[in-house]
Amino acid sequence: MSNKRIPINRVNKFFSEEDFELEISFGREAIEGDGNFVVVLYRVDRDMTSSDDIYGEARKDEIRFYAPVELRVIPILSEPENKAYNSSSGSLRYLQDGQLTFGIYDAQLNDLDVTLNYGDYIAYAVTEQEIRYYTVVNDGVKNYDNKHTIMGYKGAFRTVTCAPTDENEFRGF
Amino acid sequence: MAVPKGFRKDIKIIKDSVGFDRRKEILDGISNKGTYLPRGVMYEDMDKSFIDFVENDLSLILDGDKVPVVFLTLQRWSEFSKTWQNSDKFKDIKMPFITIVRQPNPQVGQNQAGLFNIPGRRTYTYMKIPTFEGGRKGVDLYKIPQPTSVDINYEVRLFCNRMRDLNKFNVKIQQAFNAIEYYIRVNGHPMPLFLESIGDESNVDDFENRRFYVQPFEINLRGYVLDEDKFEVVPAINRALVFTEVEDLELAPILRVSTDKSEAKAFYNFIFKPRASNKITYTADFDLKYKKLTNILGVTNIKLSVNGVEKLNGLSIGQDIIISANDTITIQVTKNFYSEGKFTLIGLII
Repeated sequence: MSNKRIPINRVNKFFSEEDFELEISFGREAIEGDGNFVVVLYRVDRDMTSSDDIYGEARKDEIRFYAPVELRVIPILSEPENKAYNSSSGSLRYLQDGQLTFGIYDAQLNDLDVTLNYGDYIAYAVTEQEIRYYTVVNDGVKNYDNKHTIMGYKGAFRTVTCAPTDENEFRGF
Repeated sequence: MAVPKGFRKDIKIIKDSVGFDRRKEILDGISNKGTYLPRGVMYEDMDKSFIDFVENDLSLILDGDKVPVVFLTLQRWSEFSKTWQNSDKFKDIKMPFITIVRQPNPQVGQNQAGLFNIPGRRTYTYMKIPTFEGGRKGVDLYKIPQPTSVDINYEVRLFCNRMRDLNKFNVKIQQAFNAIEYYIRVNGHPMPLFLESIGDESNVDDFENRRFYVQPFEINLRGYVLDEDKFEVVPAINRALVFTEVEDLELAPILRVSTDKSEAKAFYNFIFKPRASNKITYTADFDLKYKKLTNILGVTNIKLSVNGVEKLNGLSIGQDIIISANDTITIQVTKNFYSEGKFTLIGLII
């Protein structure tokens, strides 16, 4: 890993690292303090999970994960889709959960010392009794696009996209 | 535990029948648990047997649980009634599962190799059943029409999350159709299944959405319809049982009397027909003397009694036998019962 440290001097006439940190702290207060929307991150323990030698698939309840971590995020839950398993005959209808997309500050992940990876699982309690599970399909780690930076200074925020997963694949605790 | 080498655990106790015996066995299977007629076959029967085939012969067990098989039709409410045991709290079926969809348009069949059928829907004798009713012995003909061939296409789909599960089911299918066709028994009627194609409808295109494997198997059933409503029972030959009582009656011997007045002779002609009595009694009409026995045929002895007194015992008259009018004469002959005997007794009228 490179040890190069390159000073960021963009927009330095009226925006600095301190401003950047301040903006983040405002945002985190709004999300974590005011919103307090919590999702639970299950990071897959890729060493302990027993999987198929050839296909690398884990069977039911065989996925091992690290201690779950609560993340405070801005969730966007897409509308469930009315679908049919047998699309040709339009039979065996099911209501498929929409995607879960959430925004989170990198700073929160750094504070918790966790990383979000493709394939990790996310739980979201839709009611007191019901938890829906998702799998990360885009961890948003490349967050240096304009949308995810603050004034183009540096990436501060990431958008994580998750797809619904089957109970047969993962069902948390 | 290791099995010793050479140890056999699949010893066949019952020898499989082959050739004619096997064909007879199949025929017996068709009418087994039924009447003298074969059991009918309709679309529902074929569907049921096909479901049994997928549920039992292609039974798939994953993680210790049998994968449910769902036969799908059009009515929405019935889907849940078939899947509720395997659905989540939102009433969505849980993976893995197998679905069967029958294409709603059965085609003209190739069960009889696409050959022409005899037109007119006439019926043919399937079995002749003896009857005995009201003293009449007869036969009923059980007749059935020629079955109508139909081809039915089924789509069997496995929905699962793992490649290994997919492999397991695919191998089962491949093994079942190892010999190209696989026979199922629809109400005892053997009908072949053909694996037409194996596809892939896995939901993997939408990368950022839910992903699962879907493997469709298109299977063609070459069956036939045999409508029980078209079966006929027709009475055939009836034979009346007639009893005839035969009585063995004796015939009466024949006596013909003629006279020759010029010579004052009387001729007594006795004829004993076969099965006639060998004894005859008559009353004399004249006073006369029996002088001679002649024309003796088929008679071995003659006894002649006058008023109960024996006057002759033999075939010739030694001394004249004097007879008065109104005497009772009894003649008894010895002869074969079933052959004719006759003789003539000549008397001189006094």
